[in-house]
Amino acid sequence: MDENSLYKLALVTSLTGLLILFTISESIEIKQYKISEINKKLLNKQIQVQGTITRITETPGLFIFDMKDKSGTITAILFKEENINITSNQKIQAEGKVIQYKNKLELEISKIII
Amino acid sequence: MIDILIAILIGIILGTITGLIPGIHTNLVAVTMLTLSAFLLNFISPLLIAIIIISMAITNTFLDVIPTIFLGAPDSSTALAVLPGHRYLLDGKGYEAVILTIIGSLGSLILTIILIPLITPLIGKIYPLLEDYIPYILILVSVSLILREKISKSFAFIIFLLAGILGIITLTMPNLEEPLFPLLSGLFGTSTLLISLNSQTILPQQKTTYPKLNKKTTIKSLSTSVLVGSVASFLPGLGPSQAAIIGTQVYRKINLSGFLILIGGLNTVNMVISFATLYIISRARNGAVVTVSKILTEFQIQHLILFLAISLIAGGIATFLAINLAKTFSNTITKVNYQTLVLIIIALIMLLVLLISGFIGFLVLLTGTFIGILPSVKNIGKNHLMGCLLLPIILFFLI
Repeated sequence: MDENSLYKLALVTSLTGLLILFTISESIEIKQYKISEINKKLLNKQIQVQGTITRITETPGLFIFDMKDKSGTITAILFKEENINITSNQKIQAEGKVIQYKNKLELEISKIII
Repeated sequence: MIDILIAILIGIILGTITGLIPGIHTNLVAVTMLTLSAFLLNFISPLLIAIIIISMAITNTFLDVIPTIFLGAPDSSTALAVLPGHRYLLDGKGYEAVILTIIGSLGSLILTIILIPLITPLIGKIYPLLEDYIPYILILVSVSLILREKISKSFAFIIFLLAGILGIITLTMPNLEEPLFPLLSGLFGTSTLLISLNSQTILPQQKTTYPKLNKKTTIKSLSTSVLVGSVASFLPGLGPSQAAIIGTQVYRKINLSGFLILIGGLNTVNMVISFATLYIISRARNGAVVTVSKILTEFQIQHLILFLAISLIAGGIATFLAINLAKTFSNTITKVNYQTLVLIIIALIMLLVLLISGFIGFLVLLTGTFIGILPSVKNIGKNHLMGCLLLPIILFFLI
């Protein structure tokens, strides 16, 4: 093996990596949206939003709160699976599924980073 | 998609910088990114931060041999390459030494990724069996390391102990930043440099010819690094350097070129397998993976595949970078006076140690340098100095 074949091997390696990346990137990427961008096209899709918590309602099984960013507000639902404490005015990053409830779009949160 | 590619590119640039500057280990950058992540998350997603770290860590494993070979300034994963690397450099073949480690890194990266569907289920099965025996495996490695010394076994044992005691003191020292940097730079780096300064070395013209490869040596070194690297990476307390010692015991009569391929290979395999380890047994085995595991709240099979794809992309590009940077180093290093260069590097290491690890780190560097000179007094192997990592880990598990 000489220098040229080492270069070729490196090139093939990188290209193989790129090919794998292209194939799986759709399944891995959870896109971040502004709240105003959430529309019916995103229904049942996993998305990510960042915002501030306002107006929390607590029930025994879940939290219902509004998430607000510069572009708008959306109602979010968070099931109490673990001990999670959230308060008003907290900045959070949430990942979840866009769902429809009473003709309104809501976010069913699966992951929350405070 | 485009954001992922940009993240990979940023990682490669960071990996090149951390690889070329002695003492700036990927762990340091990864931990810094973890600290900054609250701020960074305002701009990019956790996944992208993880991608930057992974791509940086892989690139780093390809490039960190360059300062090790040309400047004698190693980090924890390349410490054992200082001596063979230096010998190559004094033969005018610094470039060849780098190429050998690159062949090791790239070759074993490809092999590991081909074999990973086999390796991952094995990790899950072997880990519980070996977990309790780690200190005994390490004791066995240490004993066989000393017994294989031909010139003076007792002197080798003394050096192992001295380095070990220094290691225990250094690693248990509170508030010492990056303790491995002064420790390993002293034992393996500055000591080697001082000896070559003392022997009035003249650095010969560096050739940039491609090394002649023995097929058997290459294949044997690559398979040893994949085998030993995989086992060592999912067990706690074993890094690439300890793996290199185990590797040379497994391989037996290894020559210098085979050893350089082995070191390059172990370094990269260790990083790749640590992603699989995180996926299979949820354990993080190095700073980069610790950071990734803290940033990503979940780690699923598609994350593992993504990280392996990134490793391939970064590994291929890092090969190009390493070859060309090695050429640049080869061409410029002889233009400066070697004695002056060595003094500048020693001063640079001292300065970096003072900046990163402070005054106590500086004392560790001095002590390490003196202990590091001892093996050459009786002309025995420098690998006994690895007691500095082996002894503390053995005691950590037994006590």
